[in-house]
Amino acid sequence: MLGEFEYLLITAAARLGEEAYGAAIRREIEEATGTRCSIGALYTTLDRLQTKGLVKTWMGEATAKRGGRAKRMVRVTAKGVQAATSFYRAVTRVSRDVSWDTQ
Amino acid sequence: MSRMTVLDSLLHQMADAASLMLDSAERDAVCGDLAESGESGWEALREVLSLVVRRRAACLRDWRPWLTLASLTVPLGVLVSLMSRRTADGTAIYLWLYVNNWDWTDIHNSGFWRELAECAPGLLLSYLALACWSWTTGLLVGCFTRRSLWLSGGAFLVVVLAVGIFGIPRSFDDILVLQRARDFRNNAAVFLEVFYRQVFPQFLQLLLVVLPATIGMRQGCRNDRFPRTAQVFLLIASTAAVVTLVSNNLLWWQMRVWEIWPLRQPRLPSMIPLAIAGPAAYLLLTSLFRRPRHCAGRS
Repeated sequence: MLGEFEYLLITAAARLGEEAYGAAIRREIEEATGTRCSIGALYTTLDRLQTKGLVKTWMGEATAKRGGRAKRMVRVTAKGVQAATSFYRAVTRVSRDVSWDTQ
Repeated sequence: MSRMTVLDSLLHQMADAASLMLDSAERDAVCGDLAESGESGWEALREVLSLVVRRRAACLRDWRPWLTLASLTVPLGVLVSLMSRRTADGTAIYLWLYVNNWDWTDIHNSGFWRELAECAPGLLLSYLALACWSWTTGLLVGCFTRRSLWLSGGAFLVVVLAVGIFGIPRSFDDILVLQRARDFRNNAAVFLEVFYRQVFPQFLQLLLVVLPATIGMRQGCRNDRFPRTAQVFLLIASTAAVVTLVSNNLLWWQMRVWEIWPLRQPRLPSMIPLAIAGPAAYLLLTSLFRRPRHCAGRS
């Protein structure tokens, strides 16, 4: 079972598709949650997901906007999609008949 | 330029410096992310440090660096340090003879030159062997503890310096023959001088142990630029050099002390050819595979 932050990261990477890399994923998570996402948490979680085979990462091209530094590109694997789907279904099931808006 | 801008620029530079503690590939990604998101100097420094701390903490939770530390780093650090002290004490006697008793008339004395020619090659070869062994132990530590090099490398240097300065507990006298290498009574005139007793051994240790070992560690950490078979070749050559270090300086003498070895003065095989096996293999591989690549990238 995925952790909450792992799910956020996989979902952000899946949404970004070909454009998924460290800074972009971080922006997505911050926009979605409204809280700060630290680079330390992002990269250590990426490593963990990669070890579990849920994402694949590789060094991409460098751009002038990044001061000539390369990006760490991310792609969600089939196993990652399966794990995220399973997490989403579990959250949906457990949330059934609970209305947070009224509390 | 306002004071805030100067401070921000300084903090960015500190973040850059802190990022050197990360793998080169990760450093690229993190610094690029920070540049792209336009973080302030303080935020950049905080983000980099948070990642460095997480990486270090992850290393400490792993059992492998601790195993390498106990089985390779600390024993070799102790051995190389004791070797260095023995070499320094041996050299100090000759140095005292030639420097403290210098007389310009010796230049015209053929006996002086004959004596010098007899002892100088042996001393230089012992220096060479010590430097090669130190480099090789550094290389092995670097190869086996790439990600936790800060832990293993730091521990290696601390052990080397601590043993060099404080020695090892006297209770080891009965089991570790090298510990008894410091004999000030037979050459009291030499070792009455603080320079030969304290300063010279530390100087030699910094020059022939700490410096080569540090270089070896850095090169060992980057040995993944060689193909797999070349890495195995390098490891075999380096292991052979370390085996010579242990056998020539510890094993044979320990066997003699424990009376396992039947001869009173065992004739030891020359240590130089195998001592330089590791550095020679590295130089050979570096000349064969010139294309440089950065350290330990993550795919």
